[in-house]
Amino acid sequence: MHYTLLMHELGLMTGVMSSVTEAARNAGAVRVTDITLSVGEMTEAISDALEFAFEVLSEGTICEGAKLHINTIRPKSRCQECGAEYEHDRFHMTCAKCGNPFTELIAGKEMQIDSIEVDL
Amino acid sequence: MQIDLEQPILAKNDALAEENRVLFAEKHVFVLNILASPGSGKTSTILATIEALRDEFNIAVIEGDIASSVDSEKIKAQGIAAVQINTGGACHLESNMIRKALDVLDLDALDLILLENVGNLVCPTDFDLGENSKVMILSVPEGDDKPLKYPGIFQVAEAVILNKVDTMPVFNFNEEAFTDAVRQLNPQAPIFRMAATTGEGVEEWANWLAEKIRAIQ
Repeated sequence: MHYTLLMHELGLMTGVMSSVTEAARNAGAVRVTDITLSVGEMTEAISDALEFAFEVLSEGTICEGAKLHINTIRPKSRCQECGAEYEHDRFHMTCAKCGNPFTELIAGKEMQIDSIEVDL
Repeated sequence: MQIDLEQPILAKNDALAEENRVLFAEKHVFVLNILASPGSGKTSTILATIEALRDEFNIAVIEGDIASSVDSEKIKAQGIAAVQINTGGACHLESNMIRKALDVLDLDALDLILLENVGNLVCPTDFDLGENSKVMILSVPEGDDKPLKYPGIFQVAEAVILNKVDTMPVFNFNEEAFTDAVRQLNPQAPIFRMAATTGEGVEEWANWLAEKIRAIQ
């Protein structure tokens, strides 16, 4: 695995772990069993690398053994000319309906912790 | 028991970035976040930009590198304030690092801060630092296919600098393919053709940036 990529996901996962741990402790939990994230395809975070980073970082913590669920969010844009909303890949932003290049990304940049499941 | 968090992963970074942004606006300082690969000519571009704009604006530079102070010394040699951040392995700058660097700069006396991010086409893309604008530099020897391989960085950039255009005959760079790929990803970004070390194209780029700086003063 590429060094900077792993560094990137380690950094992101460190943030996830600290938020999750805080929320779990506040709830009086003894164990985190599930963590659900939403990650947009237009971000630089890679699911496999996030999972690997999670395994490394969760060892010996309240999160050890928890299942990591990652919802991948497909990119979606709105055309500023005709108003159409359309899904697309990472590379083609122009309006799928009228071909106008001026568009606004409305989904695909997410990097969010949705929810966690804990044992009390 | 389920706990709903709905919290951005980078919540801490984003909150600090917002504080930086408010501070920059208060002080009327324009902050430019410069993203590019190692060896693309970030420091040369910064030096050329300083040369073009130093008569009109007070400029400082924040240099992000994994290690060393080679770059900040080059800037200081030109009589410009420079702060070196060593990320110690981290692949990008984060907003708390910027905040620390600001402590040693006199924001009241500055019009422009050039932030040289860590040389990397991937990670810096996702981290907001509170800057006014992001610009990305691609150099000709890196190849015309980079927008296809690293779409994210071309999408977040407000402008793209194509550097080292003087080497185009040697590297078989397909400029049309490059321009088309950038247009697909980011139709609104201007592409500035430049050779920072010879001065070619610097004026056009500097004029674009100067307009942006004047607009917030």
